[in-house]
Amino acid sequence: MIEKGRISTGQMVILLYPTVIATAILLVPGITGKFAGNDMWLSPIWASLAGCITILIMAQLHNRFPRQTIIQYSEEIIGKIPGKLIGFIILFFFFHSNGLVLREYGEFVVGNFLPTTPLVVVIGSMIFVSGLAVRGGIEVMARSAQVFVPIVLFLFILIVILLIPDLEPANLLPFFEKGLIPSLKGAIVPTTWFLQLFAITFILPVLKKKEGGMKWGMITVFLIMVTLVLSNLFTMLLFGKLTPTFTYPIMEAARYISIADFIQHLESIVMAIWVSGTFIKISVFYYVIAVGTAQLLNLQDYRPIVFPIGGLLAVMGLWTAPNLQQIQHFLITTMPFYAVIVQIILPLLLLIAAVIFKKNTKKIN
Amino acid sequence: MRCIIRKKTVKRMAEFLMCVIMPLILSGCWDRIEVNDLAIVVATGLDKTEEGEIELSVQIVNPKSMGSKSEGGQGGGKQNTVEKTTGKTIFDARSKLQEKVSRKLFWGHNHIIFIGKKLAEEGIRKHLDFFSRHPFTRLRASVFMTNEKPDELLKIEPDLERSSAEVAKDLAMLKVGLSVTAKDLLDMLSGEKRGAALPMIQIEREPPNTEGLKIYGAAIFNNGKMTDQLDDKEVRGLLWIRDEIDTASVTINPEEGEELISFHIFDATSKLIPSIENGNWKIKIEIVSEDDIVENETKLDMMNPKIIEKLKEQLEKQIVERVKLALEIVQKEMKVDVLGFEEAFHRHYPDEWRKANWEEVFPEIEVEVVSEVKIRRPGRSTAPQGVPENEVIGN
Amino acid sequence: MSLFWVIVVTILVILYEWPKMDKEQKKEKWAFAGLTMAGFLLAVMLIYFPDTPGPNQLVGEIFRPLGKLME
Repeated sequence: MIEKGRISTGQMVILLYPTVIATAILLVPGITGKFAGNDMWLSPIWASLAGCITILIMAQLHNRFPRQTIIQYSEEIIGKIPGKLIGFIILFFFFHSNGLVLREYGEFVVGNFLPTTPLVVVIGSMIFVSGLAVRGGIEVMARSAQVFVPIVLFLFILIVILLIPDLEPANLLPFFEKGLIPSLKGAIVPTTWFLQLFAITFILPVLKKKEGGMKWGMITVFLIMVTLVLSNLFTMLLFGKLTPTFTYPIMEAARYISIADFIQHLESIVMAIWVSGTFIKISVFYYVIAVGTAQLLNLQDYRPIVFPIGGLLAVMGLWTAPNLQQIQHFLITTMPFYAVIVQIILPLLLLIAAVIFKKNTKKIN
Repeated sequence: MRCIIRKKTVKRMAEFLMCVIMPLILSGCWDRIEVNDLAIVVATGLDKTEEGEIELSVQIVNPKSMGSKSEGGQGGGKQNTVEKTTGKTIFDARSKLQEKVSRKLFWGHNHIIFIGKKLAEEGIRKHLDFFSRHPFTRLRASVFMTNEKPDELLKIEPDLERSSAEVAKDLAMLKVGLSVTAKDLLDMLSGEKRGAALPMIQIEREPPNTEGLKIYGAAIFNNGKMTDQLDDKEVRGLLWIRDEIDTASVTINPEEGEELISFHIFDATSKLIPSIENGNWKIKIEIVSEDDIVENETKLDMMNPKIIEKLKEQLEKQIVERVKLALEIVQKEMKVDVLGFEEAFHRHYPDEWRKANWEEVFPEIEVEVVSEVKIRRPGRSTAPQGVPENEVIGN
Repeated sequence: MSLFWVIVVTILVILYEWPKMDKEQKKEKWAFAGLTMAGFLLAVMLIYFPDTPGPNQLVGEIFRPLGKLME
């Protein structure tokens, strides 16, 4: 076992929640609005089904191989070379997505707050901090999440409450103007965010208690769904049909707040949510890559390769796309299929193979 | 031994160095701007020149006079400065403006946008994009249309407030007329065929030797271009329909004669209830308001329920008349939907709405106005004041 | 200039991590060297050829037929 630390199920929730929410909260309302119109608040509910499926598959696999991650048991199920190949695909996927997340983070910070700061500095400093967290191990990450997530939640709820006076409930009407199809279409993109719960495969083996992993995973899905429904609903009620015309609707919403002439200019709150949330998200992905790579290469320790991986991630972030438009386009046209194949179909095939070949580690232990 | 000591000191020094370097990084060198390097724009004026260029005027806060309101009037430093340039786009004009302003123009505190007449007539849609795209501008900014030159408005030095921007902002907050933010305007313009309405603002020099601003009437936009203007009375009716009445006063003439009664309306809501029956598009405007009596010139006793009942009916009629006046002009003459009718039909009859040609349907919609008034309190006095008891009617 | 920073960062990472690894950690050393080298080379490549098609294009190309559905 590479990771020596152990965390509780509660800590798992607090790690996974921002892993999905951090970037979703900013980009999802705009993208779902494009497809679902004023039924966009429904889309996260459909999308959350994907999260449930992911958790279900990962939990089933976990039951068969309680001390291992997907990188390790794929070798046991289908043999060394194909297993390594699957491991490589999964790691490449995480490399790539973390590069995207870093880039999204960088574009947001540079685009809204620090227009003259070079992107590489913004991304580099985030990598450095996350790298330190990952080197510290899962316990350190869980504890930093315990510090940040309550702040993120508090600030999010604060924004939601302060928006109430400006809301226009009639914006919700008409319900299902074009049937359920638009809201289902709008669910496709958020699905990719729910699929990121795939990272649970790296956390389940380090839980203190073996049971309850799946239950708490489902609770995470539920919490994420509620948050996304809220953020979609509130931007919808505030901006109506303008919602999809903004790059970051939540950001615009926070900017719009003005109460009694002195509670205003709250975009820095969104920045705080964004930076602390993405920090956890990037750390979790970073951790997955570091531990996964170490397992793929059969290393005893993953710590020495953390910073070299960080360098690669920074390069990936800068390399991944020339601009935000391209990222958005990629997230809409490619990511859904890419994510479903890597994070649902691959593990599902593994699970089926494991059932057929009756493979598990319980007998060995 | 020596080696270990040296290692320790090196480590100490490295730690110390880290502590020194960290604060330097924290300030974020690239985007650090000191407040005294900023020119804070509080109001923007937009207009078009004869040559078709954008004319951008800005009101910049003079930080020297901030905080301490210069006592004794205009003697001290001016509160604000106004600058003006032209350019191909707003941002182009801004860049040219920067050439003559010694501090970095900062739009984060821009609360007001004045739109000049020429620009309004030629179309405002394309120029609003700047306010929703540039990283620092705000969608909360209140937008006004003016028949005068926007930079003249910005130059006004009002007596009560620090700047004309503040006057305009406070007038918008009081909701005496229409109150439209950049977000609302974008929302109104982004509908397929819908019109938009903006409050109009003008310079007020009454009484003489004072300067101020006044909200007067509204500008009606069709397809992003100003086509008509409403006067104050018609705007009141418009506000009733759009459910934007906050507080209002209504005065009626209860009997034959010159004596009047004024009511203060402190709560008013209106609802648009659309219906389609046999292809007839109908909309019912339901207005409910609560009123207090605040001024009574007549000899009527304000405690007599019968009299109050009568007054109530007259009041209801008065409100319906106001609304109908606005309807007549906006729906029948201008034929621009700034009333929210389209939205109401879209929300409740999405299928019929999509099939219909709104421009044809809108002027033909049958409108029914229902007003319900609740007179709650007689005010501080019961019988009319200063009237001998035997002359009071209805005692 | 940016090449300079890439080299500085790479050297700093090596100086920080290399002494921490034991003599027995052969595999770790190889992995470390390989990943550092990969990152360094990619960074240098991007400095000189910033428009090299990235992973997005690669993956996007694979999923192009499906991606059309979403447009």
